[in-house]
Amino acid sequence: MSATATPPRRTFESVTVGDELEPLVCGPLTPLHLMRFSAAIENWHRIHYDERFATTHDGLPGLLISGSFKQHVVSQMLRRWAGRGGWLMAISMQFRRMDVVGETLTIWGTVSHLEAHTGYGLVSCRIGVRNEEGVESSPGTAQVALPLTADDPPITGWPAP
Amino acid sequence: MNASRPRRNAAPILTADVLALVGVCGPVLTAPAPLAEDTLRRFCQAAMETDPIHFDADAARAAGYPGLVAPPLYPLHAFPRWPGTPDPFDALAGDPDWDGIELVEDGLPPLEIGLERLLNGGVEAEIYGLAELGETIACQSRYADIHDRAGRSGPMVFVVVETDYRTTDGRPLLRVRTTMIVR
Repeated sequence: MSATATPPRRTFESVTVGDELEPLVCGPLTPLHLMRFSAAIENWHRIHYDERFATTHDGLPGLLISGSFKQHVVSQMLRRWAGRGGWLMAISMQFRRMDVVGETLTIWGTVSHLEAHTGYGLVSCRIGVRNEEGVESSPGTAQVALPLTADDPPITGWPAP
Repeated sequence: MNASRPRRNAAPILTADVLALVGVCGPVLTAPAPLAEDTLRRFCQAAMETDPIHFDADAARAAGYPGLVAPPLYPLHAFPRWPGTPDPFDALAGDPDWDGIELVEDGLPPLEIGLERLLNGGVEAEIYGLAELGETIACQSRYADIHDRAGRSGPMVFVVVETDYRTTDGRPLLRVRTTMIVR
């Protein structure tokens, strides 16, 4: 990942069903990455940083990359794609398979549905997390709101129900 | 969130008492401190977050925010243990193989389900706003759904907890539904 990334502007009228969102490649994720994240969020579950515990005690193939970490990097990929004026409204992910230390994750998304409203458009995407072997661990969906045109104002929040 | 709430005893799977918890709310919990710049920096570096609206106030203002803002899912982690509360690592004195999972601080009554394994099944988030520097985050959880299903290796119980995150001024930030699978 680059040191800084200012997302560009993206408009609804420029998006087509089937578009692939620019993937975010994250890794290889080492024990250092996992330890730093666990420490920052103060999650002390040992399977994320104590290899002896993860393998000998819990019988896992290695340290596990946490679902919390994966959902953050998925949100990053979507927000970069949404651009400065867009708004990531919703993410839904299922944790179907373990991701283990050493893996390089590719966070991907594909536009699946478009819905125009007054002043903005809703983009539905299929999303997921694949390892180097192409195995999917965390499939899901997301919704992004985009300004219809470059003249519409940026979206910096969304009404709660 | 840690999937740690269900008690590990040998009770029936879904009793009327367990099912009666659907819809039950916990108390409003308030983060121990307002969002601070250094907390935000540390979190963003750990999550490898690169958007400058989280660390460059000029970039945040140019994007339409009053100042630095947190990433959308940050509120999930805004409730750390505060000084003066018991050290969870004290559990190691009684059990050197303690797994490190702390009880979720959501104030919901515990589930009495006689199953052993806990998995984080997934998460759904709806994002309404980004927390600003100096704002204090509060949350409230409820049991949104509890149901069971026959799995390949025995019964599985799905527990969905829905948590609303707001600022203490009442500005909505985030709604998260976490599915815990107990089997």
